[in-house]
Amino acid sequence: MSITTENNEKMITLMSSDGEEFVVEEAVAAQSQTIKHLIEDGCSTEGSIPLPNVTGRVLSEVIQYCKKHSSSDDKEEKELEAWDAEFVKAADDHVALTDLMMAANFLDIKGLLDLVAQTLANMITGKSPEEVRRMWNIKNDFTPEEAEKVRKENQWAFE
Amino acid sequence: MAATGNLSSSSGSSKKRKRDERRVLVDEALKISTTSSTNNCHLPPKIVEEILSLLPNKSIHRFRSVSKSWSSMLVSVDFHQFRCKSTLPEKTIPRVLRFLGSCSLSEPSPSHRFVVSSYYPVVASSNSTGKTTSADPLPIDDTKECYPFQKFWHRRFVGSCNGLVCLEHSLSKPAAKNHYPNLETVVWNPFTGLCRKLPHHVSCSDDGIYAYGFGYDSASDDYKVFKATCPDYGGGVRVHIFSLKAGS
Repeated sequence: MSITTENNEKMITLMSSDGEEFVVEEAVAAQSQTIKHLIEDGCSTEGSIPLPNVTGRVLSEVIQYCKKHSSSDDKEEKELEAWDAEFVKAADDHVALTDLMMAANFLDIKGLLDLVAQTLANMITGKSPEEVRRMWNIKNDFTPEEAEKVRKENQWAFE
Repeated sequence: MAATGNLSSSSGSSKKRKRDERRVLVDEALKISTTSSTNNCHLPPKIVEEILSLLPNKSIHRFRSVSKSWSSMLVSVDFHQFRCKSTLPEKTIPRVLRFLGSCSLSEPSPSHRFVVSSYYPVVASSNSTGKTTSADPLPIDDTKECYPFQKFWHRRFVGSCNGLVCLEHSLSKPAAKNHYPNLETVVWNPFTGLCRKLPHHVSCSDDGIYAYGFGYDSASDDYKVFKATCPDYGGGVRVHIFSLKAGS
């Protein structure tokens, strides 16, 4: 659905996987390359744009990010960095951050993807393989012999 | 008039094709969208790659123990290249390595320092003096295991590319001045610690002079070692090109 506001800004409706609708300015939505292409292809005129892998909770965070980044210009870079730092802090745990990263990946928002990837990387840098497996429910599929071998090869990284 | 019509219709059809491709993408996304967000078991490889490419060397080595798929990703050339591209400013790539100190020694010497300074800084061989210029050097003892510089009587730096290093070395004492038997040429990945020996004919030094080169061929997505030999100072020049992918 595309509506036009008083200041002539075209509005786009985005629909999350759980059916929540978000009405945002086209310029904000177009921070996502995926949405931008969909708009270019005329998909937005057929009704709201469905975003099947993004829940309402995650989508509202993504929109928050896009709003901030579409309204700021280069002069405010410092301020924007501080805002970004607060933004990822608010996401508080790795599950929320991972969801956010998957959404950024699907929606193709490079700035957000890089931001969240860096936050997650910082989070796991000092962790042990076991801790990382627990974080993302990764199965340890090494046999004991293989595990020993890989560990030996990289022994220095454990010290 | 007819030409214009053709042009616009062809660009129209390519646009349509693009649109169809995007539709397919969206349809696929719809199919895989059923995973619950809070019980997030499945991390797509693309996401894993993005995160891991930002980690320092030590974490990357440690996380090879996480699972088989992580391990194979972390040693793959693709991951290495992705990491180079995403974290290195474009212009620093050709200058990835800087060499301090002489590359070729007459005997194995533990006091010789062989410094390879790069974005993935590597300090090979040990030393009591000299400064490390790299920002994040691997501890000296760790790299000894990656590439045993001390073992060799002769080491020669051939070239480096995308963080891979090509070296020539010999385990034997010199038979004559500057002549080392049993020369070997290796491509070493300081990043993973893996070392690949090239076939003998690449390394064998005929008497005479020779020159080496090492580089990446983007057309074939392959690393190549180039060697030109001039057996009898004035005769013809023989050129060997070794492809890392083809192994010949």
